[in-house]
Order: sequence, then structure tokens, then C-alpha cells
Amino acid sequence: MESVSVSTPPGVDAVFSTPALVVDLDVFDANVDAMARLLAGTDKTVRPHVKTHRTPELARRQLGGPVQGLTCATVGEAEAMVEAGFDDVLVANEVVDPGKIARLAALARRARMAVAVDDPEPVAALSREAVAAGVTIDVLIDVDILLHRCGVPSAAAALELARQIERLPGLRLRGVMGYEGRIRLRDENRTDKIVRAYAMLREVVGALRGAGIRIDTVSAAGTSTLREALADPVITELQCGVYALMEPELLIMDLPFRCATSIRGTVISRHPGRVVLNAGRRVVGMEYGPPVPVGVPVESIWMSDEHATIAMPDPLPPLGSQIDMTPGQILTTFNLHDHVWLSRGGTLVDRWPITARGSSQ
Amino acid sequence: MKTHARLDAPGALVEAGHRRVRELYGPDLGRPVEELATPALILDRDVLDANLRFMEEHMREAPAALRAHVKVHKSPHIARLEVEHGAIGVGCATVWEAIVMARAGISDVFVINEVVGAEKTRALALLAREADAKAAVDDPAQVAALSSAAVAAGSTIGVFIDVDEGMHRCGVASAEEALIVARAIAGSPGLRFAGLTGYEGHCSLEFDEAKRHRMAHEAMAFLTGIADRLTAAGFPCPIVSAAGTGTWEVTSRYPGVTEIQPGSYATMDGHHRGLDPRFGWATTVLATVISRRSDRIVLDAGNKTVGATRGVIAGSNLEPFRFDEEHSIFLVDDASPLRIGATVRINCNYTPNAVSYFEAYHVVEGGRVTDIWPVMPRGPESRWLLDMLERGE
Repeated sequence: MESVSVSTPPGVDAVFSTPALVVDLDVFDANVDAMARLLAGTDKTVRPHVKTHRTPELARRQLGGPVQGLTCATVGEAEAMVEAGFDDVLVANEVVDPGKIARLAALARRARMAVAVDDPEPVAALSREAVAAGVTIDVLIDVDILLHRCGVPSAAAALELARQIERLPGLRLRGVMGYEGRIRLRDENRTDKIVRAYAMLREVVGALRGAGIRIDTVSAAGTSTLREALADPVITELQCGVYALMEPELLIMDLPFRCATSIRGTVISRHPGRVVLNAGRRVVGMEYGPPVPVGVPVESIWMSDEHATIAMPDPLPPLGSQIDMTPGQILTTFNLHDHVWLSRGGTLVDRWPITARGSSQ
Repeated sequence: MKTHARLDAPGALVEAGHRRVRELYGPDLGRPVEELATPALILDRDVLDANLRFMEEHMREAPAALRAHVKVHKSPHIARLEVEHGAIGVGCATVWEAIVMARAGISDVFVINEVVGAEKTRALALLAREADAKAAVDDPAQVAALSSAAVAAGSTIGVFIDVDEGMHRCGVASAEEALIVARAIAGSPGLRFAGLTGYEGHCSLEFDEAKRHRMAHEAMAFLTGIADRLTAAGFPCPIVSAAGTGTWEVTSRYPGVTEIQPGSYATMDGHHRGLDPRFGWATTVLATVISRRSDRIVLDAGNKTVGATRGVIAGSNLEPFRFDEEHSIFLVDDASPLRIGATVRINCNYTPNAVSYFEAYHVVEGGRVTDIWPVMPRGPESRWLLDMLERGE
């Protein structure tokens, strides 16, 4: 049976080998266009989160119009993106290590940098490093609006931090951020949690503005809370990432995006009722469940380190044939590869480096 | 008395990989481990050595030989130490790992997996020119492809018949199926029948020791039974290879098993400590406390870096609350001395997952970094290794 028609220009074919990560550029570009259309007529922007794919060439295709700047999870990701030519980066995470703060300040010489803060000590350290480097670093006060992970726990704490930031040289308070984007669809009380999260943001923004502090940016949201964030006036900037590539779990939401990513494996073994692909946990992120094989009838799938064992009815695909699977989670999947292959209409057309792979520092 | 396997000097490929990571992390050499940028993959040299010595001593008088599976750690340096401590060769998950290990100076490299695809059989056939290269098969079609590749390269590839002892993944399920494959191998030029391989991995999911040992015995009875049937049919099996770290001791003493292929024993993790607590945590992930509330700390290592949704902080009984992608949260009490900036070691639940996310190990002795060892091949994209072999490099 024909699972995937892979015809490749000579150059690309010469280096292709499974298991491989493949992105359908037609679907990717359509997702990017769909986001631009969603934002049209609002005064909101999307600052795409690159932790999703860590690939500068993909990030470049996402920017335009109301989609501006990049969001990163680590200083390492930010360095890779600035190196690739991006000039507006938010590290939406607390940076406390002195070495990393120094690296952030160095980046601010080459790009407009912002970082999340939730504690006075790192704020003071940021100020010192910014002054030493002769730069200004923007800060967003991180507010704990849902995850009880990082973030200031109250408007009062936010106000105290804001006053400290305003007193210190080398820093500019850009606004506040909060992260509620991890809410999954099946989360109980999902709507209630989002409502309370945004109410907390509103309270903090109100307290800061009430004290005469200027707040330009209120940054929050992920793809799974896109609709809610678009509808709430308090949020000005959305940190969505996975919309461009999508995950099967998000497909049941009312979102205009389709899955663009595949893991391509080869059938290396066949036995009655099953085939085994050379694509296992080493190449597919499993945190949101197993990958979904495409174009073949699947009874069950079992993932081990190096293999995907797919139970299926006859006729079994021949030894050596290739089968695509849609990963359950994009972010961890991309971080397991050095390159992503690009396809259009079933044909491999290019290969791009996942430059910031492993940049978790 | 077991003789040591040959270990040649590491070649240019591994030297270049080593140099690269030493340059990348140069400033970390000599530094106390608590001062490293995080997350970082830490290898405690004394714990690694103790694990290797323990296995070496226990395998010294065993009838079976030790083959170290490298897919767990993907470190040529750890692999070399494994051979120095009694391993007769290595097991690999892919032909790319086998090429790296051969270039690390290890002469006996067994891809304990089916090698399918023109570029991969070609790579294996080229490798077989310079090393004792082997692979597993469970289908005459794979045998034919390996044979063509070996003939084209003018080499001989060692071939093991893969036996399904209960995992129901790859492998022949009966002596009759094994005979069909054995006949195919015997009738194909460029191949040498090396014996049987079977991984009783389903046993490593059973934490009840008595039950696990019973399951391993059943699996070995099946495996050696097939060896006997093949021998009787005129296909003697020089090697019968099995076992992982969950069953190594039982399987290495089973009559008819000539080789065990454990991997995790060297580096260890939570899962395997549950199966055999005699080995220590040689690999850990170093993380920093980046946020602190009265009842919790947040670390800068999550399931993207620790590679698992579970882990514990070494030397503590702090309860993990949640593992996110880039963060993990542990519950503490008010009196906990762990402030922002403190570093901790996370004992991962499954080391291969963590290794997938790093490019190097920080080797630590006496509390300081003494070397940086590369994870090679980082993969999965490793076709450039075939290009290297084609160029005769």
C-alpha cells in the first residue's frame, strides 16, 4: 500500500534517512495566515513562542503584520534567535543565574530584549549587568495567574517590584505577563480558571496604573487559550507557539489550524497483525500521548525507545515502506532532532537546522 | 578466566567530538559542580567506576560474556570504560551508533536491531570492512538486503536471528520461523550466522523480583530451546545473547546463554534502581532553583531536560509536585534552605530520555568538573556517517 509518496529532488534525497521530522510547508503557511486573519480587526499582537520548534527559519515564516517579535523560554534559545537575525526577543521566564544574566545583557547590545521577573534580587542583578553593558533591558512582571509556579502572588507584590524596577537604572518596565496557556481542554473548571486568571491580571494592571505606573504590555496566553485571550480586553500580546504546527489534542478546539508535523519511520519488521517502525521515544515526544499514524488503519500503537509497534489488519505495508505519524507533542519532539525536513505536496523540498535544539540553559 | 577485548585508540571522529564539547564547555573545566550553568547532565565518575567494577566482578566467573548496550548513554568514553571493565563488545540500537563506537576503538559492534534501508545496509557493510559488525534479522527479506550490501562492499556481516521471547515487537516467534531465516542466511553470500539474540524486555516491567526471575527463566527456556532446534537442524548457534539490566544476573547464569547485553547498569536511573538497587546513580541532571514560595521551589529542569515526568532531588525526600516542560516543582517547608540560585541534582527516572536532550556529559570527580564527554551520535540524523565511510575516512 502507498502510505507516503516521497519523491525528492536529487540533493535532498541524497541525505534523507528515517526516522525523520517532516513539516508540511503548505499547512504551516496556512496556519500562519489563519493566525493573521484572527488578529485582524483586533488591537492585539502575537509574539510567537519559539520553544515549540527552536528553528529560526520556521520563526521567520511566522512573522508579519500583527505577529511580531519572538518569545523564548531560555537565554540559550534567545541567543540562537538573535544570532539568526531576530531583533526583538522576550525571555518569558525568570533568569537568576549570574552568568545567564550577563548573557542576557550582552544580547541587549544586539537586540531589543525583555525578560520576566518575580523577585527583587534578580531584578537588582539585571540592573547592574545592564548598566555594566551599557544597555537597557525591558522587564515584564510575571504574575502567578494559574500555575502556581513562578510569578508574584499578589497585586501588592507586583507593585513593590514595579517600584523597585522604576528606581533602578538600566531597566524599563514594559508591563506584566502571566501564563495560563497550559490549560488543557479536558481540564475541569477550565473556563473558570481562565476567567480568574485574567481577573488577576486585571487586578495587577489596575493596581499598577492606579499607582501611576505605566503599563504598555500585558502578555499572556497560549494556543489553547487563544479564543479566550482574543476576547479579553486586558491582554495586549499573546505568546502562542504551537498554532503554527499543531497537536492532535488541540484539533477539537474551535481553531483554524491543522497539524503540519510528521515523524517519518520505516517498516523494519512485520509479523501477523503488526508492523514495527524505526521511530520510538528517542525521536517522538510522548508527554501528550503516543503519535498518531497517518494513512494506515491502526488498532493500537506501543512506543518503546527505538520502535513504534503498530497493530493493524492485513494487508500489512511492505518491509522498507515509510509511514508518517503525527506527534502528540511538538515541543519535546522538535527538541530531539537536529534538522527538520520541509515538504510540499508530498515532496521533500528542503531541510532546516533546529538551531536551538538543547538550548535549555 | 576471561580475556580482555581489544580496545584500539579512539580515531579522529571521536577525538573531534570530544574536542568540540571541551571547547564549548571549556570554562566549566575545573569548576565546582554547584557553579555550573543549568540544566546540565552530570556524570559522577566514581559512581560510574563502581557500577562498572561491580558488573565486572560479578561477570568474571559467569559462564556468559558481557556486551554493554550503549544506546542508554551514547558515550564513546563510557563505552570504552565498559570494555576496559570486561565487556567483549557493545550493543547498539542503530548502525550510526555502531560506526561511532567502532571509531572509538571498539572492534566488536552489534546492532541489536533490524537494519532496513539502502543507506543503512550500505553503512553496515562498509563498517564490516573495519570492524566485527553484526545486526539482527527476523525476515528473509532483511537477510537478502544485507547480503547484497555485503557483496557490493566486499565485506562479511555477522547476522543474529532475533527471537521474540514475549515482547511481541520484532523477532521470530517459533523454531520453524527461525529455521526459515537460518536457511536464508546460510544461502546468502557475504553473511556469517552469529547466533541468536532475544531481549526479554517485558520482564523489566515487572518489579516483583520472584515473578521477574520466573518470567526471565521462561524466556530463556524458549530462546535456548530454539538454539537447540537450530543446532539439531544443522545450524549451530555460536552465540546466544539476551538480557537487560533488569534480568542480567539470572539470565547470565542460564545454561545455553553465552552473552548478556545490559545497558543501564553503567549510568542507572529510577526505573532500573527499582529492578536492581545494587548499582548507583552515575548520571544526574543539575538544576537551579529559579523561584521560591514558602511551600515550593521551582527548578529550571523539566520533562524537556530531565526527559521524564518524574524525578527526585538527590539526597532529599522532597516531594515532586509537578514536572512541566522547562520547570519542575517540589514541595518544601518554610525552613528549607533551598533559596533562589541554589543547585540540586535530579535523579531521573529513565536516563536515556535525559541523555536525548543533552549534547555532553559534565564529568565530575571530587566535586569538580574534570572532563566533558560528547553524546555521540546525537542523532537521529546521522547519514553523514555513511558519507564519511564512503570517502574512506
